[in-house]
Amino acid sequence: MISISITADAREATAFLVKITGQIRQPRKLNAALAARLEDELKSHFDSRNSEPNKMGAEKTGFWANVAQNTATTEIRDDGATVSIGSDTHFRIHLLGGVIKPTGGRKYLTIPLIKEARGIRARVYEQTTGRKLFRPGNARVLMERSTEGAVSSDSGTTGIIRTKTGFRKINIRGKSRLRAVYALATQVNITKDPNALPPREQLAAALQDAGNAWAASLKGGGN
Amino acid sequence: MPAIDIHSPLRDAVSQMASRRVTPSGMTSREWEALQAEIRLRSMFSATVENERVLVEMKERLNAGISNQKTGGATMDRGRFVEEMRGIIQETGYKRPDGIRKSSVRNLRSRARLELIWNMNMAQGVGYAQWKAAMDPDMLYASPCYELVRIMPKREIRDWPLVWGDHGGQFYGKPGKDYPDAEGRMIAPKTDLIWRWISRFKTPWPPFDWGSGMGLRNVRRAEAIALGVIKEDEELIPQDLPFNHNASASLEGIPESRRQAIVRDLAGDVEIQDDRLVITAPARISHLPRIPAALASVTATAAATAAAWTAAEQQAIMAVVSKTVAFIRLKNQIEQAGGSLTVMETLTRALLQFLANPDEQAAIAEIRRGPFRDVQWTELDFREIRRAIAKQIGGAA
Repeated sequence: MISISITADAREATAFLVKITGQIRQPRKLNAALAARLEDELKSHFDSRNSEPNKMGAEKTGFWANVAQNTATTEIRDDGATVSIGSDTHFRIHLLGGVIKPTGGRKYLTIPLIKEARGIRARVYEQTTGRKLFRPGNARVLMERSTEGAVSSDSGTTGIIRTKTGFRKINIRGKSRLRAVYALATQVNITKDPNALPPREQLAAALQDAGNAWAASLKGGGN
Repeated sequence: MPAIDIHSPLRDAVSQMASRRVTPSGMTSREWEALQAEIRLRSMFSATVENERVLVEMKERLNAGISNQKTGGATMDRGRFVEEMRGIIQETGYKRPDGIRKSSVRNLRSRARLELIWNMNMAQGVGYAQWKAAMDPDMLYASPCYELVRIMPKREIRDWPLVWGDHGGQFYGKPGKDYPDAEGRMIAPKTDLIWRWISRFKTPWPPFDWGSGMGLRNVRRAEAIALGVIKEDEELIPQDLPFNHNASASLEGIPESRRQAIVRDLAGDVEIQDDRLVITAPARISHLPRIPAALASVTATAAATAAAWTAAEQQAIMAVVSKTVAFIRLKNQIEQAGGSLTVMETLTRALLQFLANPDEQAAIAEIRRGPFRDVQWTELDFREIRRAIAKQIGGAA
């Protein structure tokens, strides 16, 4: 009689150990069945993450749907299997945490402060809305003149706007209605998302279920 | 032990998988290298633009995105692609067509259009990688079926259950939450031709239409059997298709002078057929290696074997069948009755079902349902088609 026992690997956070009692002729098939279950558990988890509303109430960028699409079983061996989550989805930084810094010669990252700016670069925001963004003084923020949710300033100030050839100073009249659109940051610390992956206990239980089902499906005690 | 890897882009992980073991078609690692080039080429099939410079610039950026390369010290992402392409398109003097809103997806410079181009091209590369991974024989055994599900909400939702049913798809179990009024869940074996029939791009992997928001989820073996999608002892035969299978784009409205420039810019990997730009990367399957000459007479044995043919083999056979007088006559009848390419593809599928069914009368009855009920089939039609198939099978051995 075949029995399969699954435990989380204490040495490696994203691996699981499979102990088999009895002899099986085609371990690769067992590993394929386990990998299929693991893949589905991960995708189901990412699907449910994708259905969560974002804090801003903005249109979804589909980040978690993209992670789910980039998840697949990519290796099956006699002694194990691997489910890959594509590293180009930026999933890793959610899982492990890290620091994001501007690249390509830029000095700042632009962090959207309103839902209309989410997922859009500052220049594209300007082009599509027709509203110029400016930096008031040395403030680390890009603002716009807008009547929507805007804050009045009683006294005038100066700001910097980007032009085709560089930057230039502009005057902001007193009592203008302004709105902060992006915050400027030299880096952003991303904390680990504890829910990036399903709980290990949940995955181990699912794999155990898959292992039990596979063992039960064997005819005559072997395959 | 099962493990989760987070260190490689999916496409690279899949190609590494294939290079470690021989694929069902015997694809070598050199062919996988060529496949990477095809992925880059395929990335161009969404723009339908006239300006060569825009085409080239778009190709470079999509290429960088697909291969995860850094340019100018930064990786190419969707936001950067949109920003840079908007600037380039403006520099070319592009004028938005009359009557088209600035934000419309029909405006090449709109954020909506450029994001769609990016999303679709990236998704096609990932879709193919997923499909190749799923065609591992043991994975196909463990998870033999897909379910068509909604993965992203959309404002305008196409009636996918209608599309599914129109193309011969079956429904199983209780309907899902996405389409509660459907007859059931849209599930089919991973090797079923339905996946190509429902796709605007005629590929069995998603995306299935422009910005459809639909995707695939695995249906594992026990559930597939319980629902009746496959039989308990049924084993699917893995398929093998090149990434640029069926890739083409319309050239409608593009003047001849520009068409040749587009072909030149895509470095001879494409050609113009009728009003479409078609990728001409050589097909991977040029023969039918597994069907012996003994099956030249179409018998029940051949019928059973037909079910084991890969999609590429089916294609090769249909290429022969489509030249027979009978097939041309049937095609004309369908077109005169107002039928379309979709109907022709369904006809192809029906003919293959016919070959897989030893009971000829039942098969003929099956084919005569639906869009073919007005087509005047004769016994001679089937005899000629059978002869054509037998000739293809016999000639390959």
